[in-house]
Amino acid sequence: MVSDEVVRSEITIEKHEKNAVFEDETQGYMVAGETDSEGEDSYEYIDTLLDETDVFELASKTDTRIIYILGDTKSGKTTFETLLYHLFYSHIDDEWYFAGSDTLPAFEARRQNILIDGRNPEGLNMERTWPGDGHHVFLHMNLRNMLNGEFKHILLTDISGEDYKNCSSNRSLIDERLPLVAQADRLIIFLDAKKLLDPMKRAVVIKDAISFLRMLRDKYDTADVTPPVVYFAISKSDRLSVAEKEYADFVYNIRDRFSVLGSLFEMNFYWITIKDWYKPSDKRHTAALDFLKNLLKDKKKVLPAIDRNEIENGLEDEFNRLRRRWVNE
Amino acid sequence: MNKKCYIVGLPGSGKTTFLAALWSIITMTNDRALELKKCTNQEYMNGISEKWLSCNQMEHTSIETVRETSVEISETENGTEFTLVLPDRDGEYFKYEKRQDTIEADFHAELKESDIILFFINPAIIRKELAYGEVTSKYTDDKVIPEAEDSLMSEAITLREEDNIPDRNRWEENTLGDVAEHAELLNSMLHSGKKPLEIRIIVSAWDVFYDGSGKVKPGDIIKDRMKLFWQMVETHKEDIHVVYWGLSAQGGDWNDEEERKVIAEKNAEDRIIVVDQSGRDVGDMTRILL
Repeated sequence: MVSDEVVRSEITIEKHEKNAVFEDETQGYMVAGETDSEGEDSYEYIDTLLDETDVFELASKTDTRIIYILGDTKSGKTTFETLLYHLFYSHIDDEWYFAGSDTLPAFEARRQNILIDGRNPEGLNMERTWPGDGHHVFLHMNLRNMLNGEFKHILLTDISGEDYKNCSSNRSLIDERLPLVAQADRLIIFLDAKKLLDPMKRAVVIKDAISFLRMLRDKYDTADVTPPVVYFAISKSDRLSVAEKEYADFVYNIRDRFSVLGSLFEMNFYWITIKDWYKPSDKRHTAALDFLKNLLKDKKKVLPAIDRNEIENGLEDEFNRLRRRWVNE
Repeated sequence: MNKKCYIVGLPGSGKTTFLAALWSIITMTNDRALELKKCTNQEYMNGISEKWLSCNQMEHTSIETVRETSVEISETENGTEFTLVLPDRDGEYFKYEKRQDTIEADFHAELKESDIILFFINPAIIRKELAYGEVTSKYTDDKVIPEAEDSLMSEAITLREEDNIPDRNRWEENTLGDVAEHAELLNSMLHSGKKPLEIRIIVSAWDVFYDGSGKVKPGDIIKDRMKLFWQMVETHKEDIHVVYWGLSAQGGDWNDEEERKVIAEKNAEDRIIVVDQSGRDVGDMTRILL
């Protein structure tokens, strides 16, 4: 099923680049900390993301959704994840309630970047995600469906654009830099609409996405596993205030480019508003909360078995056993 | 039967003021539901009681004056005994940054030994925050002119000034917002291993919200001002049994000199405002423990 709605977004990254304080290439978010022994400002690294072992432990006990979020640098991935958290911070939905998080400090560090204050009067100054250690990439959110009482543990990845780009051209890097991508229930690929509008940049954006999915395809070549559902999130189309026909042509053009992937992946196109994230869905955009609900709805996929030497004994078998049991129910 | 009550709350949540008021009430009158049996730190309790009686603000409990205070109280009607345990550490003890590693383990051990947790929350000091997009929703709606980014910025700054949203140097402050700190504290309690937890959420500074009508409920204030935290409470009702109370042990704003004088002239028990979770004024703060 394909859904197409327009996006309006005004992420003005260029204005804020000069304010960026990251000078270290380690992953994560940095806050000002103490000065080091040489009197230089040092930054405290917030290492509160989960790694594979944490995910296995969680998945062995609970119903989890691994949602892989990928895309080029500054395409809106982290902002989107932050807004999902902020939705629950500022709003009470009738259906899904926030039930906790094992990475609350990490979400909070990101949420600071969308708050309006004296330093950030425009309220959007998301710091970039740097390439990390290839393990601690998972943000966690526990949600409860208040209609049926079910808990759903959502694991969202926070992967740098550089890692995505490198993996799209180097298959061997996927296992190294993208842990558990083959176990992902959903794959969201962010496409920067601003770049899509530029014919020269459009080719690169689409090439990267197609190349990545082709790299990933090999992991699903066995008969008993199915690929994740792929969601293309078109972001930052703040200049896309066009007439209906031009918009329709643009949408068709983008979708047509991905037809080379054939039927390997179920693909959905979503236009997610950033600037008007709080507004309900309409003809041209899907509200972030509705998008999240769609992600939570569908059936779990059958997963390939895991094969990692570093997994603790027992966890691997338990993970596989329980995931398959849920699928068969 | 002895019930151990463990007092929890972030800085400024009213823990010490509560103890001071309770001590004053119990020691000054005989006609109460509870009577004092024993106290491990009477000098300290007398000290904070005097401050409370003279309407002087409690000093911030510093790490240097760490002392565990326990007060044993007996219910006069059926003899049930309560032991109130106030670690009386710096309220910073309950903040996320401090509760790592060994302190977290100590915290969980203390929770496991407790029968009732008195969780103090002061919504009046929760910092107001606005996020990207929320300015436009409040002030612009259909009036947004996409190219007028400068006017949007000036509106944001105006809003900030009018609503007293403070400048925050986010790189120097704890990265958890006020609501998230409470959510993280609750998250820690849920991971303590004790189930179910009996929690009495005491919404302090109730004089700020109280209008005498009996319609304002402490749970509604939490829902309105601390949505994330409230949702966590609602989603874990199997594991935490929560009763809300509204309490003003000060009875008003002691920073306002005129108001302070009025309060000081009242009898001790008359300055306290206590409502149960339906918003009904119950008049007796000792009811919180029963």
